[in-house]
Amino acid sequence: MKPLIAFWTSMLAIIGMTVAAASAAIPRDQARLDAALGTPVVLEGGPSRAFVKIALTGFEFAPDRERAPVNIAIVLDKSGSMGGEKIAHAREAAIMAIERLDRRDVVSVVAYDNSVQVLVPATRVSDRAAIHRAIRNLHAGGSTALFAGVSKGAHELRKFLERNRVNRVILLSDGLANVGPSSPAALGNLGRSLAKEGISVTTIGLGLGYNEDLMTRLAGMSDGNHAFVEHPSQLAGIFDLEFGDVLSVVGQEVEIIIRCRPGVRPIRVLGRDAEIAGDTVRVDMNQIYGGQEKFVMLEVEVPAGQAGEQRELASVDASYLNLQTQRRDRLSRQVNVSYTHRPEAVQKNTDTAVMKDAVEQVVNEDSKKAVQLRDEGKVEEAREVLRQNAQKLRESAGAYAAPELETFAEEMEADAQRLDDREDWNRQRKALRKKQYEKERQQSY
Amino acid sequence: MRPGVAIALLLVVLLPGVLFVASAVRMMADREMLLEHRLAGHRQVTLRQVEQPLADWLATLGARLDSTLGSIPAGTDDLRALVRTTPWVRQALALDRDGQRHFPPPEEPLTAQERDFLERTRLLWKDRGILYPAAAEGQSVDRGWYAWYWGDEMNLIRWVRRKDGMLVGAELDPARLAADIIALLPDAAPADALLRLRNERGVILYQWGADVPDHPPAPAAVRPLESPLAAWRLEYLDVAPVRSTPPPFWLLGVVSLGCLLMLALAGYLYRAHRREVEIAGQRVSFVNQVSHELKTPLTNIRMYSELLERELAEDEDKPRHYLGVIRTESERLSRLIANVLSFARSERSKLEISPRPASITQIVSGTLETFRPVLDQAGIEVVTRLPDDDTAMIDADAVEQVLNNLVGNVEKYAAGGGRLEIAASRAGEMLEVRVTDAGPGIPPDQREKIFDAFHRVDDRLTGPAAGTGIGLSVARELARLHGGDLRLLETDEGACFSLTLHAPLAEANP
Repeated sequence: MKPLIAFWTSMLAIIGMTVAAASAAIPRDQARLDAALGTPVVLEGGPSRAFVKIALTGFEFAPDRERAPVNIAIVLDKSGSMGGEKIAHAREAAIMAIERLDRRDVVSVVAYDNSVQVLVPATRVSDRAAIHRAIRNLHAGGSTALFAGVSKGAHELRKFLERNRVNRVILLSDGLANVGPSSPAALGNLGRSLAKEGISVTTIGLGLGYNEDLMTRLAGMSDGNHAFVEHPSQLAGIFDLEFGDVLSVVGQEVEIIIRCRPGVRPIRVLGRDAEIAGDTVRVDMNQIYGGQEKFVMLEVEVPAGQAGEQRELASVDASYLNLQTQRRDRLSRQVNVSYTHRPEAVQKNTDTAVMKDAVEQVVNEDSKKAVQLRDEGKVEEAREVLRQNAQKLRESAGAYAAPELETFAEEMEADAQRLDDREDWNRQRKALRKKQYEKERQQSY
Repeated sequence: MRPGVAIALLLVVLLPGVLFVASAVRMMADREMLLEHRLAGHRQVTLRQVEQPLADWLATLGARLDSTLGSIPAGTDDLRALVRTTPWVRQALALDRDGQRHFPPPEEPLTAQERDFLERTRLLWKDRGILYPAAAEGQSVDRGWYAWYWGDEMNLIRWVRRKDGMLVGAELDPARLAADIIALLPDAAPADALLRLRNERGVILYQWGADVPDHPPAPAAVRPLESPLAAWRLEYLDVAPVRSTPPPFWLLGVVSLGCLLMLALAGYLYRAHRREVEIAGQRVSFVNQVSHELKTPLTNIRMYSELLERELAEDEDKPRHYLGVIRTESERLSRLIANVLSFARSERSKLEISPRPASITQIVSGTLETFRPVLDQAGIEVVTRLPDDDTAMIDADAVEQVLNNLVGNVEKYAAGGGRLEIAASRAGEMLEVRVTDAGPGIPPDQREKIFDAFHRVDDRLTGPAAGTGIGLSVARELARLHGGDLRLLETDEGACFSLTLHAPLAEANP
């Protein structure tokens, strides 16, 4: 009897869940837009600050639907420093990654040293043997014309540039760009320009010789991923993760526009580049990945209000090109705030999940400042910033019941400890930049 | 060998040889220059070929921007959308009909990027005229590029003046501009060349072709891009040093063959000349030896014929006549031999004179005495005009030999004139002896040649007289050794030889 009851209970549970999901009125082939205030209830009186989290979560492709075709340019550093096992691992990682593509996809392989060599011009992945041969012919030697490499990689992408394709440059470099433009600003500008065409650049830094500021800037401005690979043997894994991300893209040309109501002043967007013009905040993303949440954390000034009053804070409009339906989806949310005179009510209504993310972003920003201080040689001040960060994280971990923040705090402490290790700083800086980037972009790996 | 001949031979070989080699070298240099010209042309062509697509692309981009800028609604949102969606555009600007700023909007909140743009273009907002300088000259320019430097980076704006009176412009993203131009550049180049693109700061944007050497050479050719990117330049570097082409085999062959021929010719000429000289030397030394051998018997013949003459009785006219003939003929032979020996000595440059006090009158008389029988026989009347006493420093033997030759010639060639005049006169230290005949004279074209050795006026074997052809040559030589000369004076008839001698009077030094 008991097993039968259990069976029915579970059946009911499944039916109930399905109904619940349906009642949520979110179509299965649409991304979910959430807009939530960290503190939806604020104290009456004087203006206060609050965090608004606008999150887009990608849907999963229906099992009977094929994923979006991709258009990938792999841009490999073959400068002298890549010699030996680095280039060997890079070759194998690229070949393995291309294995995951099929004949709908387009791939090109570009290698650069002093100049640029297009090993595989943009081509459909049908003749794998030819592609593999071209990659295996790759040998290291020469300087690092990184800018030109990316330029040519993007040029190859443009041959098959389509709105319904995921267009991505995957850049691998182990050294400093020493031929052509080499400032993070120049590469950032290039990244931003490529993003306008729907091209994002994922940057993979290999070893300890690359410029992590340049690489994160290029990835950041074009909304790609960034990875720090200390040992070449990890390359295959990273390529696999990156291709996993690329193959899971469900939406592109993402626009999020937040219009603050009169009296509400946008202060800053944490982690992402945003265009703030008066009370309108605009954030563009290149893509949303299936099942992944990408969010914009906006800090606003909430105007003074009276207890019991409720008012609209901002409206959020998001739109993106749905790669499954190939239509443009438009989503809207509204963010409201209410005023109270009871601090307990504020605390009780606090959205701990939003606050947890907000704290992480704030701490992340401070952590960037710590890196800057350390660059200036102010080791102690940098350490102090990290310690304060850790302290803030610990307090928040308790307040928002978020044990992850505790872990974050421990990492922060450990980072603070190691700051004065001159020899390790290079490695640590790269690791820090990577962590910061991962946090601010909610990167999956 | 005489030095003149050696120099001549050397010239024969060296001059054409040097000319030959010089022309070959010149030819090589021309070839090299031609190659260099061709190479320079090739470099320029290569750079032009590289540059052409860039210029085309830039023109296309300009046209594309023009059509967008010309038609876009100039609202704030529209221009922001333009900036957001156009990959090449970093920022936009718009001026209204009155030249006032319309975008970035002067009265609305600006984005951070727009504020940066206003900062970058500060100068432009102070003087909007710099956007379209040509318009000031009355030309109706309605579109164009505007380039300016912010920091050390060049920025470009494409602007269009529209029909509605607005001026709308787009600032190019410098990084994107560089990236797209790089993407247009090829991967491969001639294997021995490295091509480069440098931007306005001299930064190498892109390079392709040969491997980059550790110390790159200076560019062999440079080509600036077309406006508005005239501050950028393409460079062509010869990485492998230009090998000077070896001279072609045929040229080397011709030159060496020519030199060989010249050498062979010189060798042949040298050998021929030497043989001739040797043969002549042998001939002279043979004649010399023979002459020496003849001298002793001749002396004996003369001596014994004189002895015999003394033994003869007064009335034995016939034998006396015969003896006279023997004597004159042997004297003639003596003169001949003396000439030959003198000539042989002069050939070995051993001819010397040794002046002693002597009387020219006596020498002339002595000579005439010797010739008396033959002169009488030829019916030649002899006239002399000689100074009375004239003892001077003279080599009597040499003067006698000269006179022998002159008088002998008269006897031989001018006997028909029937007259011989010998006159001596003095002028300071110079003594002149004139020997004049009334014979047929000497043709004008022979006047100098008669003094050459082995030259005879009439070379026919059947000629009226026989001779060796060295007499006058030796005579002149002797006269010159004596500080004077032997010349043929111009006369209306016959021949007049003038012998001058440096013969100071002997009284001062007895």
